[in-house]
Amino acid sequence: MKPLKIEPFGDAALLVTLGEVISLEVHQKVVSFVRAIESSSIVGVGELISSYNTVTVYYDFLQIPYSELKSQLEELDIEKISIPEKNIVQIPVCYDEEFALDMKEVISKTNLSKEEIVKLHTSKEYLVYMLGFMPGFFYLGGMDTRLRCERKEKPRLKVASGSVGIAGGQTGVYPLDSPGGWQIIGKSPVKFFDKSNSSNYFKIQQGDGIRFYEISKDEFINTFQ
Amino acid sequence: MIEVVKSGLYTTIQDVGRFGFQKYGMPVSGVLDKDAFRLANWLVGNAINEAVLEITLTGPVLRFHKEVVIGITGADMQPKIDGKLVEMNSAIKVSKNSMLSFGKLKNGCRTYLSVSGGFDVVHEMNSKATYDYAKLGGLNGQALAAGDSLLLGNVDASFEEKKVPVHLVQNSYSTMPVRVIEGPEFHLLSKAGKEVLFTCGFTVGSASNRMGVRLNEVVELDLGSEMISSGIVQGTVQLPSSGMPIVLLADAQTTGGYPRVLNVIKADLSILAQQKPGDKIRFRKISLEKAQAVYYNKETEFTKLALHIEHKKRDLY
Repeated sequence: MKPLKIEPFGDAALLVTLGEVISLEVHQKVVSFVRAIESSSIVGVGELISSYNTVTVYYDFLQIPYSELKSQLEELDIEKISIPEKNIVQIPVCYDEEFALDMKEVISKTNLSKEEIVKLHTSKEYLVYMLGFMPGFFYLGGMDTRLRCERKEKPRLKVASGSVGIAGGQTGVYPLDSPGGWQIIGKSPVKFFDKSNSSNYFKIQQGDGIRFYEISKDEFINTFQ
Repeated sequence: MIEVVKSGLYTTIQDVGRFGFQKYGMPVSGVLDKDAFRLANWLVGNAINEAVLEITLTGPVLRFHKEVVIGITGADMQPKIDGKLVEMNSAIKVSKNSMLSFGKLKNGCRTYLSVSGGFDVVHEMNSKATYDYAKLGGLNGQALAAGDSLLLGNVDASFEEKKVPVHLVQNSYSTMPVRVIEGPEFHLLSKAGKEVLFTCGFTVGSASNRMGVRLNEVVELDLGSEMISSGIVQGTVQLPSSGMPIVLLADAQTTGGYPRVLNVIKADLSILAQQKPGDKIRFRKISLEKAQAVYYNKETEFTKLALHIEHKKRDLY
């Protein structure tokens, strides 16, 4: 295996780069590397922030010098780490016009009907490549290229939490009320971030698989509220 | 109880921060000037991580409905009790029904107010720190507003004369350059860009907040500024497409897609947090070894007051 690229990232963290592209292979290396650190007994390691192709490792340099940590990380054998079976999360989405604020725009930009859009959006299994941008926001890979649609020219000042959107070649869900420019095609009743649920604040983790399924407005209101 | 008569510009309850959730995109939050924060708690005999008020640019007006001991550190906003100036960096006994107000800002940007016994607000995700973007922590997850009541912890109003040692009092926040080390994308800067970073002074922009210090001058990149989203740490200097650097602070998002050209060293984050809109800052490059030595020396001073922030495993930032 190629040696890892490890470099200082400020004086209290280091950055490990496991590839230069967004791909399933690089993603799996990232997930394995995180597991390897978490199951190791390296002293002085703090929080980890993993992305598509990197892992940011906070450390306490009063406990472990940079060079020592770097060599210990280089010795981790990530090939040996087995990735457990993917956790598949089923996510209900209501594509009713009450929530699908930009469905008309998406129909005209993709030349698809509403039914085709819903079918394509719910037919794939998506992979959670990383979390970031805001608490509980997950970056998904695997959207059908026919659903590709540019962002809104004017971002909204407030998009409601649970809103499901498309931006360029990506799809995703807003976990919080937030300003945003994604084309909104539906809404999920799921709480992706719940500060009162101390056993599970965040619904989704890096490496999860996601499937969207359609629910009616009636189900949205009566079953999930 | 403390009654909020006026809120000030932006006053929040903060502690050392919320740890363990950055991998889910949750920032650490917490006080921006950790030095002033620690000293404020020390003055009133609180645990080092007790929550305090972080006061930004304009102070609140507070009425005390209980006798307490308070400590005021950080930016000098000319604090007054019942109209009379009181000393900063010193334990102050406040009697029942007194009113604390602030005057004109003399230096710095953020003042810290500790109260003996701390503030009685719930821990949300293990912290009292306010993160208003997610309506989390503090008082109802947001900045103080006029009419709010701040409940206090078990108050031990026994008063002990205490003053912050002179060498730990920051009299000026404007003389020192902010020390940095090169960031992961430093190499994407043009030759002129690299030069500008270290020779030019930068002006703190008016849109600066707890997410970041926004600088007004443009720094040039050689290539495009888009990259694959990756991690951000406190002190990361990010260069968005406008070319105007943002130094990311405690409420910043955990990942970003813009080049990370510099990182402010840990020891200088407190002084950075005291720069207000219109202030000029300069960057000076030092080595990683030097940066860590500077931090070590600084912590040694705080350790003498038993104020070194110890972190549990996995809780470092």
